[in-house]
Amino acid sequence: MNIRLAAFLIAMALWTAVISARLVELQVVEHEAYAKRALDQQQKTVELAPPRGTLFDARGRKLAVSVAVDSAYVLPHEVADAEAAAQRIAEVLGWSKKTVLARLTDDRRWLWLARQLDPPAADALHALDLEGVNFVSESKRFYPLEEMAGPVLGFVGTDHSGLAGLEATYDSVVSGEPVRRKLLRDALDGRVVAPGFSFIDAAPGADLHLTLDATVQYVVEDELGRALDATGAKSGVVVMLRPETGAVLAMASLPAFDPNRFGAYDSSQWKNAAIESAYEPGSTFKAVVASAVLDRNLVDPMDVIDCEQGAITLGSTRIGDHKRFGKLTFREVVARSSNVGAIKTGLLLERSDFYDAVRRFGFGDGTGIDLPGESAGIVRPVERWSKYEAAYLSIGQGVSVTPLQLARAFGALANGGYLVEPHLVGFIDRGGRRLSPERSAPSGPIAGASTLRSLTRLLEAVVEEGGGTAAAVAGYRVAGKTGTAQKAQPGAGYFADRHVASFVGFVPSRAPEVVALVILDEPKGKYYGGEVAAPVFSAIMTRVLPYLGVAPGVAEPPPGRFEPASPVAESPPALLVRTVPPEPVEGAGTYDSVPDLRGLTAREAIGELARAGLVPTLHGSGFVEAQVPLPGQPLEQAGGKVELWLGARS
Amino acid sequence: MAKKLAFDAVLFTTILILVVFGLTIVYSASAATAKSDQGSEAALMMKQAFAAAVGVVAMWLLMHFDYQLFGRKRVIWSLFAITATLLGLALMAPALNNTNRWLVVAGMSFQPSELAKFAVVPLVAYQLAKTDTLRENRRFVVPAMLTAGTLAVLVLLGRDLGTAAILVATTALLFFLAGLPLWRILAAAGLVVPVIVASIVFEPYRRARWLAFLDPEADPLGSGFQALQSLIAVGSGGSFGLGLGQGVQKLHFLPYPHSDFVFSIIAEELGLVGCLFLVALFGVLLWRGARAGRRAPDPLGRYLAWGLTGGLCLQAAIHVSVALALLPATGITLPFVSYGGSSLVLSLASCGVILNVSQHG
Repeated sequence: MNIRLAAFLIAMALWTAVISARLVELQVVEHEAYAKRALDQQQKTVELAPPRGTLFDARGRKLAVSVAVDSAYVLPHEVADAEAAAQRIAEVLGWSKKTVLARLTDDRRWLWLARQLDPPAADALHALDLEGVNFVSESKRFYPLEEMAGPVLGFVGTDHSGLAGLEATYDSVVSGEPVRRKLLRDALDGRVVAPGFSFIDAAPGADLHLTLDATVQYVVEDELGRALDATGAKSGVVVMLRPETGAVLAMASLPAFDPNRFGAYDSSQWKNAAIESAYEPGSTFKAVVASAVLDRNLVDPMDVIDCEQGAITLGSTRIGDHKRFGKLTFREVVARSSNVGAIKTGLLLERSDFYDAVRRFGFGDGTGIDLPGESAGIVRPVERWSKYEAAYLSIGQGVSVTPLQLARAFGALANGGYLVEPHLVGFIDRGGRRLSPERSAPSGPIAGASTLRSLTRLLEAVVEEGGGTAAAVAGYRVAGKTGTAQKAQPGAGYFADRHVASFVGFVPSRAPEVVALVILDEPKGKYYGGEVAAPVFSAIMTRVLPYLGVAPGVAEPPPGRFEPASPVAESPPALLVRTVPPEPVEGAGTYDSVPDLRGLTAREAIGELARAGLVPTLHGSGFVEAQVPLPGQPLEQAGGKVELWLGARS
Repeated sequence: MAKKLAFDAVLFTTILILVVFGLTIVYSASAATAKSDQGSEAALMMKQAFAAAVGVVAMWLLMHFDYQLFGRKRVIWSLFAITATLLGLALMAPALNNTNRWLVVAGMSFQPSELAKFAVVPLVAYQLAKTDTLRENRRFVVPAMLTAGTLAVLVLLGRDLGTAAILVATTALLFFLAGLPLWRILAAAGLVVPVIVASIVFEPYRRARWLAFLDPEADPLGSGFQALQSLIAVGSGGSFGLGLGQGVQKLHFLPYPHSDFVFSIIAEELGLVGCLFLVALFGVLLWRGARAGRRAPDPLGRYLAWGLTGGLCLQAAIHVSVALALLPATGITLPFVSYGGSSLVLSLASCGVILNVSQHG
């Protein structure tokens, strides 16, 4: 054999041996290390904003939605001319060139350039068509109603977790599974070439259906906003609930912020004052005192109290009334909001009873609403009460409550005495399955039925003849209480010129559908609750009640006129109530005179009359507009029969 | 010669296996990019299959012509003239990939440098075969060097150092196998090596490739990128590979995955087993080609078989060595496997000549 050929073949064999050895080295010995390296560069674990569930209002309108937006990322090693690219990106995004350049020249193989771009910015960035700048689609939270209900809805941070409001409370429900993705990357253009890959293919979180109604919320914010403009108040709060269930219809705290741009506001503006700010309730608290004294039969509405010509001295402090009242009935004390009268009645209570009553109304405890950051307010334990604590408490000083606590307390007065858990979420919709959030059972009753009935009369008097007449709503009977509190000065004492004006009430007073609280903080000029807050209540209710389908109650029939104005004018023909048997009679003989049935529904009126042993004759349908015999007439005069005219006046 | 002629069936089968293997790998390596660039995953594979068909016809034709054709002066000089002319034309053609390697005629692109790799063997073999006596062929060495050298210089002008090196190496191999005294070969090498070194040192991208070869980790995202990515592909393949079509490195991590780094894809997808299978195929090609030359009835057949076999196997060895970072990046393709019609057609044509010679054994 040719030696030269043999030499060549041996050389090639040796070369092959080297190649084979190298293959074994790379593919067997160092395989693990190279496999890891391959994965490291081919895959990148990215955490993407998961699509969150939608927040709907009570009527299915979208309050918070997740939309797909582009996020841009950089593969710095592919950026050709970082300087020029940075300049162009900076112009598009409105960032400083330095910031952009730092990202384009980063040491990492992969990093975010800008997350969750606005569509116009994303389009502009796409249009630059820069090498090394790529896009993925991820979800972004969008609040279509912008500032409306901002603090209630809350917002979502860039780390995809809900940071405030319902977004925070229900974060785990709404966000679903976090989306962590291993991306198979493509070194040239960053496109992901794994087949069937989609960035947003994770199951979205569950939807929330709120009790809040966007229309009501709009009206509330609209009226509150006008009031702030008109009164020059610093801020304002309105809370509106369904007294029976605690369902929140509206919760507003102005000035508002837009959760779409939450970062543009100071963090103090994110506050939901309705639950986070405790304040001294002032005169609105007198309803609590009244309930306690009435329930213990310490005072009768018609009892006369000497209001000392407008001043009472507690130790060295002289507490005055806004008017020099002489002798007033307790009814008038409440209606006209006499401090002196309230203090005198409050002092009739045992301290422990007083404390107990305050606690039973839910003050000093969080309401349990499904929002984060709720304040419990401050109620000093009775053991630590000062000498005049009860006196101050009687006029709503020395205690601090959140607007929601006060609204809920009035809700209890309206619903027969039960403290309900306020809530914003009606139900959760997880892929078609309806889930109800757990709720604690109502506690109570906080007072007896007759107490509540007479208290309602007192609160009606506030609106009909007392300090809260501006809260009256045409066609509806309103029960409520005004409040005007001087603001406590940090340290001690009160500011002379800083007030919190409020009005809290429920309507229709005899069959309450809505309870609401209006608070204006530091109104300029006029500052009485009855002057600045009560009109807001009225304005809101005037617009909201018809929307909610609350049938109008009855205005007082003109004196001496027993015939209804137009008993059948707008009545539906079907009078189903006639077939309803009277409620089981309990406590028969409660009445010694014909009860006041005006404003009640037919069913309620029948129940009341059954207790009094009377048989009704109904005309029309809806609410009782007029009755014969008149309220207060001796039962004998009725002869066992009462005629009722019902109507649903608009 | 009334004797019934029979070509080497083992070699023939090996070549067909290589072609089929090559089409499969080209499909796998190019599917992702072909889909985005050409609109069809099979676009490159279909072109390659067409080239394979043309190549098999060329192989069949060359198997059945008498190889003594390459002993004719007129044929040899025509071959030289055509090859040199095409190389010259390619230099004037618009640059593609920054190199002047392509001629496009009627929509078909052609790489004259591939023709040069083939043509250099008959050109040198013709000169060496003029005499069977080692002492006497001395005066044919210079014409052989001049013809091969002319082609090499033309290729080098087209900025294709790798192919030029293959031309020089094939020529040197033939001189070596023809029995030329070693000192002469070394003296010739003394002339050629400085040229190659200079062409590396004074060409920045070649210098960068060399430096990257010496230390790929020094600049993993720059000049060392290719070598490192190739090693990652090979290493991550492991013993049995990720499976055909399952490779990831071809998704733009590796440049030219279907040509310059096709072996890396084979290593990634088919693993050590697939690599050794491929190496074995070339081993069979080398063995049967050497055997065909050894049994050839005359020096021309011997040098044709050895030269063409040696050329193909050297290319394969260099290509694989580059993929394993044993050599710096050269742009040498893997015969039969890498994507490229000219290469495939002329590799098959080479085999036609080798098979032709094998018939006479």
